Amino acid sequence: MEILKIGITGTVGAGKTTFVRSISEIDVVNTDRVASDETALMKATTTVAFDFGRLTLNSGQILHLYGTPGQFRFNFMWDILMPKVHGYVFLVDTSRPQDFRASRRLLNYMKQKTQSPLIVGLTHADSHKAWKSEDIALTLGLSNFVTKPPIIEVNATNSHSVAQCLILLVEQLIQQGINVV
Amino acid sequence: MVQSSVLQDSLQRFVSSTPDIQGAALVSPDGLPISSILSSDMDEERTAAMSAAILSLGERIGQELARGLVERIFVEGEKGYSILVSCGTEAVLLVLAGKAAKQGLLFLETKRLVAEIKPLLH
Amino acid sequence: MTISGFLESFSFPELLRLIDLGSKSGRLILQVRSAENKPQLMGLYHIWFQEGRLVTVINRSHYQSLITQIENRGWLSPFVSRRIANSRLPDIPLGSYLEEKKLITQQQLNYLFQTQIAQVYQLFEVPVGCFLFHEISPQSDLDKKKRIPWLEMTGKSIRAAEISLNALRLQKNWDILAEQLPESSYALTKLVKQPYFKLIPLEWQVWELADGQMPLKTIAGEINQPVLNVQKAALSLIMAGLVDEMPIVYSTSATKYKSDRPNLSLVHVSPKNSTITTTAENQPSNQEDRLKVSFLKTVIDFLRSKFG
Repeated sequence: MEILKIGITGTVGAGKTTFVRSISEIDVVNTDRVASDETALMKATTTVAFDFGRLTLNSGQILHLYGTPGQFRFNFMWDILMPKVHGYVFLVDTSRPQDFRASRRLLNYMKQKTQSPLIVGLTHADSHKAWKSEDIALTLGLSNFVTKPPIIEVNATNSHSVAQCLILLVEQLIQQGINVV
Repeated sequence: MVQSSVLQDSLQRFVSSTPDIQGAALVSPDGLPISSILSSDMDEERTAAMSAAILSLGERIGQELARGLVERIFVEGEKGYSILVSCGTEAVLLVLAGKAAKQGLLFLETKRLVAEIKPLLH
Repeated sequence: MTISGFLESFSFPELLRLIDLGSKSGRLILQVRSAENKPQLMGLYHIWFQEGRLVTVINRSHYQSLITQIENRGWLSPFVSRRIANSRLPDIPLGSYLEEKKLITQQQLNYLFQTQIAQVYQLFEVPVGCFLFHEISPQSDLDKKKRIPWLEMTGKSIRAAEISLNALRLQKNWDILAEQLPESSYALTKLVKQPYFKLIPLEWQVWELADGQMPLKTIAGEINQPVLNVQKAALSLIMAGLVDEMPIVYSTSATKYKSDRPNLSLVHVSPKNSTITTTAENQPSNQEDRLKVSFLKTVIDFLRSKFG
């Protein structure tokens, strides 16, 4: 059995759960709970353990998707999930500059947890408040990576867009040769 | 929501009056601390987040693997027990006990505490 | 190309960090809407940058042209200043032009420039306002470039990041900046090999101990300083682009992840921009968890055909 494990991470409200739901063939195993912190201003529920999605290619090949919680208090879940993934998508809501510094912090954290390749997915890029990808790249400090992660706009509600994002990540895995024989 | 000092009192009474109970924490279902009596080397915020995560996973197992409504989650370690129970829709209760604790008594006392706290939360 | 937003959500030092890192040129328009403690700061500011360096500050609400400022100080006669104001000058800063003509000294220009940036230092205390940055890219048409306010420029400049460094050092009122401070449990990672700004002793001590692992509170203990002072110095270094903050997991007796604590001894130096990157040494997956390229290609084909 060959399993490709992909992590979907990012700060609160970046679109992680939606991303996994958009493409999973199974009902996503989600662990949403009613939000009672400042998250509640953005959305009603928040992931407290992880979201699990799956895509079956054939009887011997499977794709697993793990969506992480976004709040820092769930960092133990990041610690559990991130070292196990072959690559990950880091989602950033381009219309929320107030979260960029938290995104940078989270990215710094992930960088220490795993060397697996990543790509940055920009959500809500069609919003009039959206920032341009080069400015987000600067703000997130992407040039500090050994390999600067590629950036792609993604509509987390659209399965085609989510698939494009995953294709880019898998291409990175092949290109960088990390976690690949 | 009730004044947190009332909840704190209930937890305090529970921890000090029940033998072998080492700590208790009441957290929101999305993992924020509400009230707790924990030893100083345990971080309240992390404890709260972990409690919410494991309870949500446990409930998911109950549901997907047809175990029905989850009454409690019981983690047995070499040094002691952790018990998680849902306190209605508003909260999750975590109880920490030493290895010497009697399981039956532990479950009973925990149930009694939930019954005491639950009305306070509405 | 514009960047716009509110200072409440993207702070002034963050903005300067972005302009500095991106070596951006253009005009930053800052509208200060409320400043309870300093009502005199309310108003409209135009701050100009060239390649990541601040070149002039124009207070649009209390406007006084640079030439008037020079004249008021008695450094130019009204007659000369009027002649200059009415003549067509080359596209160089007014300060440089006057200096070339021996009408003003370097010292006087420095003084004028310091007066300009002193206004910017005060803006660090402003909590509420909005900003709009009009970027002028090097490829921009001449028309845009013509709008560069040569007459307001002394010819002096300062790196945007250095403004933050200076302003944060001068800061007395930390009410507004307090929420920007890195938490005492955070560690710092170096982003450059050597600081390219002159650091004060405290900043230098914090810089030296920035190893990607040591929490700020431990650094404070090591150098015998209050944690708050170390947090402030850390914020300066972060905004200056020298280090970045790194959340460290609070480790309790019950939660020690010894096995997946990464060893951070690996430092990759990328020759291109001479920045350093610390990465985790722990391999994310063990040998048997590695994937075949053929499998990955199948995944790509599958995603293309199913969702393409």
